[in-house]
Amino acid sequence: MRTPRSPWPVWAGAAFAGLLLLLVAGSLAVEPRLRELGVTGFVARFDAFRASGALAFGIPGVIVVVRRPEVRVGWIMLAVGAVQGVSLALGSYGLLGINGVDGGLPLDDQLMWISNWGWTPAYLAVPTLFLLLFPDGRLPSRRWRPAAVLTWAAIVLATLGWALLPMADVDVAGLYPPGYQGLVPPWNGLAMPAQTAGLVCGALAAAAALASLVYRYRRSSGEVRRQVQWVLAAGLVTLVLLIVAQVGNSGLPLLLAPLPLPVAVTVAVVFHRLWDIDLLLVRTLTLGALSLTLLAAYAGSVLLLGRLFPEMPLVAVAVVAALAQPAYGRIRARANRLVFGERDDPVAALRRLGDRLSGGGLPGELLGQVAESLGRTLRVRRVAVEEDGVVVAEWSTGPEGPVERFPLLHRGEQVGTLVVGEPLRVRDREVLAELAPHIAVAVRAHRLGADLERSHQRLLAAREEERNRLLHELHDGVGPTLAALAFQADRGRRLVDGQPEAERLLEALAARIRSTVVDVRAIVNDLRPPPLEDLGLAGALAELGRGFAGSLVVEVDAAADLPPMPATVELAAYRIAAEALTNAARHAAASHCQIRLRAARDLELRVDDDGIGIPDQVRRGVGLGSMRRRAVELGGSFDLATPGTGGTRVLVTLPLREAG
Amino acid sequence: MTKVVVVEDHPMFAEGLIALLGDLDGIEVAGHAATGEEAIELVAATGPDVVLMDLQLPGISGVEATRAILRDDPGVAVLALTMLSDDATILEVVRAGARGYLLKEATPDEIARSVAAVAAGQVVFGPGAGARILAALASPSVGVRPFPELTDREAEVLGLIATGLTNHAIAGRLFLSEKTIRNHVSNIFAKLGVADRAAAVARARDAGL
Repeated sequence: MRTPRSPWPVWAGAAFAGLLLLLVAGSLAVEPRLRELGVTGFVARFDAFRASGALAFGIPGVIVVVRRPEVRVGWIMLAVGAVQGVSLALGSYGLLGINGVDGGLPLDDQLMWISNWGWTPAYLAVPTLFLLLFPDGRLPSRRWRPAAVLTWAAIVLATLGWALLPMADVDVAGLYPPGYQGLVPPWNGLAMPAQTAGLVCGALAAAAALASLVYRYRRSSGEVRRQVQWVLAAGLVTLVLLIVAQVGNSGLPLLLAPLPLPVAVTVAVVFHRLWDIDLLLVRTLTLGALSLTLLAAYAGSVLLLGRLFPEMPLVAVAVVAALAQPAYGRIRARANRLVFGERDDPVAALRRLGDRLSGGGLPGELLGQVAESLGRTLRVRRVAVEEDGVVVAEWSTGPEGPVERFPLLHRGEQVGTLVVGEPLRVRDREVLAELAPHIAVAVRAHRLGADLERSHQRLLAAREEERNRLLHELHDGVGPTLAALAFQADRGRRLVDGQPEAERLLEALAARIRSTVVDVRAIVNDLRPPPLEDLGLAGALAELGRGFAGSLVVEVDAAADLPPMPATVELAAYRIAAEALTNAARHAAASHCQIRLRAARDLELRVDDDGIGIPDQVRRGVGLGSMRRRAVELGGSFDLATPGTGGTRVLVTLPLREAG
Repeated sequence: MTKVVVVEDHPMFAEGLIALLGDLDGIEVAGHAATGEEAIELVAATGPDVVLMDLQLPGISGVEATRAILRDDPGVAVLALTMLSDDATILEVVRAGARGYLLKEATPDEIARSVAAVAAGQVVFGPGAGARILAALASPSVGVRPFPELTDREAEVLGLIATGLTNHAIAGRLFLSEKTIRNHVSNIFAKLGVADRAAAVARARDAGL
């Protein structure tokens, strides 16, 4: 695990979260009793707002604090959740006592008083302090100090204002029994001015906080920008909801107001690596929270149904519940896939992988596609395939984190390793175990393809080597030997002076031997390795063309933007062009030849001459066959045509993309 | 009497050539060398009028040997004798100072005439080659720079080639594309009349680049 050992152990975080849940659950549990006592409902007295705030900020907050205690914004979230949870629970307790359960409870007035103002700092901190310090817990710059001052002024003044308010003056009717006075704090005349001042400061601070987010957004880039963008949008939504709630004095916008920001923070954490928090944990808890919310909504709807139609028999409620249950199951599966991808659906994952594998593509691209498919399916940051410790395919959406390795076995032999950039759950391992054999086959195919490509290259290299050897044999051995034989024939002719028959014979022999030397030179010239390395293909072809000077005018028309080409392609193009020129000069009686080179996906080589065409016996000869073979060997095509304008056209395409 | 030294590594051809020369009137074979290094010593020791020089030799090439011989004694007439007939090869040996050029299948008559001609201070080329060589030599060659025919950039590239850099490395050094470098190299080869990198490097070194 990359994160340093936190001073806040996981169990403490879990205990805190559990406590928070307990506070909310306890408040909900006493709700029926409060109803019986005639107290205003959970939503109408803003307790639902406090409950959603407690969970929505408290749970993500505790996760951040446990994993990254140095992140201040996490502490703010945790504090907001805790304060809302505690004030909610205190309020429920106070209301129970004040409204006369068991003739009052210990300290019920005092605790109710605390609950009446306790929510204020938490409520105000969200649109001000939280937004101002997000995401690094520091002000964007020193110039933002006034905004911080304003924020603290708002929190202190508003809290004071609520604390000084006489308990009976709260703005929610029907909380207390008739005639209840409760605590009357001293200096309560200052309550309303303090509240108003707090509200004004709060509005200004919120505007400044949003401005600071816009400022951060515009200054940032890349991943940080995406993190801020989510929170900025959520901040705007929150503010709009709060204003609507304030103006319309309605419950629903207020109830929803605590949700956007924690959701945005979670999105930033999960998808944009905010604070670098262990994704697996966040995901598990996110899923847990989602499930809990769904479960609550489900239970709530069943409960509501029973309330709305009290005369409906219990059986009917059960029937509705049974009908709603599949919907809950489906929604839960959707939530699961949203968070975990298709990890928990091996069949879907397998199907998607199969689509990739059968989708074709070059062997080199296949593994990359498989990695991508797997990465998207599992919703992980990085998937790589290794062969002998070398990464041969990789898909990633972010920087490298902790990795897990998974051996890929084919017929009992490890052909590679699957590297997944995230800790895996037991269930993930099961899914991977299903997928691994198929990936192993792809790796094996990749390796075979690479082997084939290598042996093909070796074959081509061996052929070049062989040509070189032959070249030296002819150039250094056969040629001079023949020339020496010609000298001997000449000598013989001089020695047989006076025998015309023998003289003629030896003279003809010497001439025949010399013309053979000329032939040998032609072969040697053809065998010489072309100066591709020094001159490039176009340059080498121009050089080749100059060699035909006297018999053939050769013009090379090469596109200015020829890309770098594999050596094998350059060599094949050169040899084919050489063969075409030789044919044009030797068989087609051409006087002019144009070599045209164009490259896009393929290299296109066109050789046009103005000769009489290629005679049939040559068509079947070795020359054309070797040209065609060279093109086909590299996966290209070869075409010989006689255009209407006369002459001969050789058209060759050679793929530039190297297979394998 | 014309004194001739034969430089040829192929024993059978050398034997045939020496026998032929021995049969000719007015020619005396002063010695035979099988490598360029031997040839330089032999020429210094015997002081021949004409050297028949094979261009492809083990060790230093015939072109390099020609250059060395003519540096020691500019009066010697070197006549190249080779299997290859491409322009680059011919130009290279002419630039090295050879007076003429013959293919190995030359007839005894051609050889006799050519030896006599170069010994008399004339220049000899095979059919077809003459015009091309004259055209290639027509480029101006007066100036203080080692290779006035090269542009500044080409001279710079040649200098880098001489330091042993590959095209790729030169491209990186000069912030140019590899293709541009290839074009320069191609022009350099054409202008210097050399066939390959090694020859270009030899020329550059000789010129003190």
